[in-house]
Amino acid sequence: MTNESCLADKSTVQPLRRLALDSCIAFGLYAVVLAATIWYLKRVHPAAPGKYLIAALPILPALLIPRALIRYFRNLDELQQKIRLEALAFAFTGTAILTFGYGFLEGVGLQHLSWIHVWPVMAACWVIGEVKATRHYR
Amino acid sequence: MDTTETKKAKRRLWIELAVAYFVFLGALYGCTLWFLRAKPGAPWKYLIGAVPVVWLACVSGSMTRFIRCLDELKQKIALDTLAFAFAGTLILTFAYGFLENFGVPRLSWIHVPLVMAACVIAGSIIAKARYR
Repeated sequence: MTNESCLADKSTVQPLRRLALDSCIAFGLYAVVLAATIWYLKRVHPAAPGKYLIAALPILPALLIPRALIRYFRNLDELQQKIRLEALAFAFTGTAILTFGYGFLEGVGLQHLSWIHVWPVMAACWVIGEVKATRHYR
Repeated sequence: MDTTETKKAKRRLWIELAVAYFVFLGALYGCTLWFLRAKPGAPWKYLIGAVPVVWLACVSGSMTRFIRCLDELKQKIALDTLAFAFAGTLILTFAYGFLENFGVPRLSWIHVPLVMAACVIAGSIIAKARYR
């Protein structure tokens, strides 16, 4: 392996490693808070006053995820940043259009879906965006 | 201050978005309100779900061209904005979906783009403040 490809690998792998670590911490905390809120609301106090507030508590540790993602993008080299930007732009517009389109179709008889299923749409759009952008800059 | 190139790219994006928007609205409203009301039990009604995909192709092309015309600083701001908005939307929609189990009213997916727009606004304020 040449020095150049070594450097390229390091510049890609190190931010990814950091993202993986930050995400593990964020998702770990999220899982703990989520389990605690479910346990409290289902077993201990199902009719707790302010139950929506308690159920929304897992959002707090989840806020570490955008922070980790932004840090990851900032640590990438310029080409990788361009690829990620195009992939995200595609994923974002794609999600907006598909959710809006599906919402419209719900009005004409398609089954109502919970918002919990929006993230697989986002993930799929991101993967397609990544493939598209990587091909363009290859 | 926007450069001439950025201004041109912005103008082009807005024109393309406006065209795509009207094509989408025309096609979707036309198909659903006219065809489906005429034949509510038609087996091909789900094909209409493919209409937004056509729009997606138009809009994603415009967005990509727009992003490529931005200067480096604006690309960095856009990346931070989109990263924040993407993760924010993911968390908020997932959290709301979770809250639906505890009695919060079920919302149509038609409202998801509103959450996305709010996240983009918040993300762009944070990113611009950072790079000022």
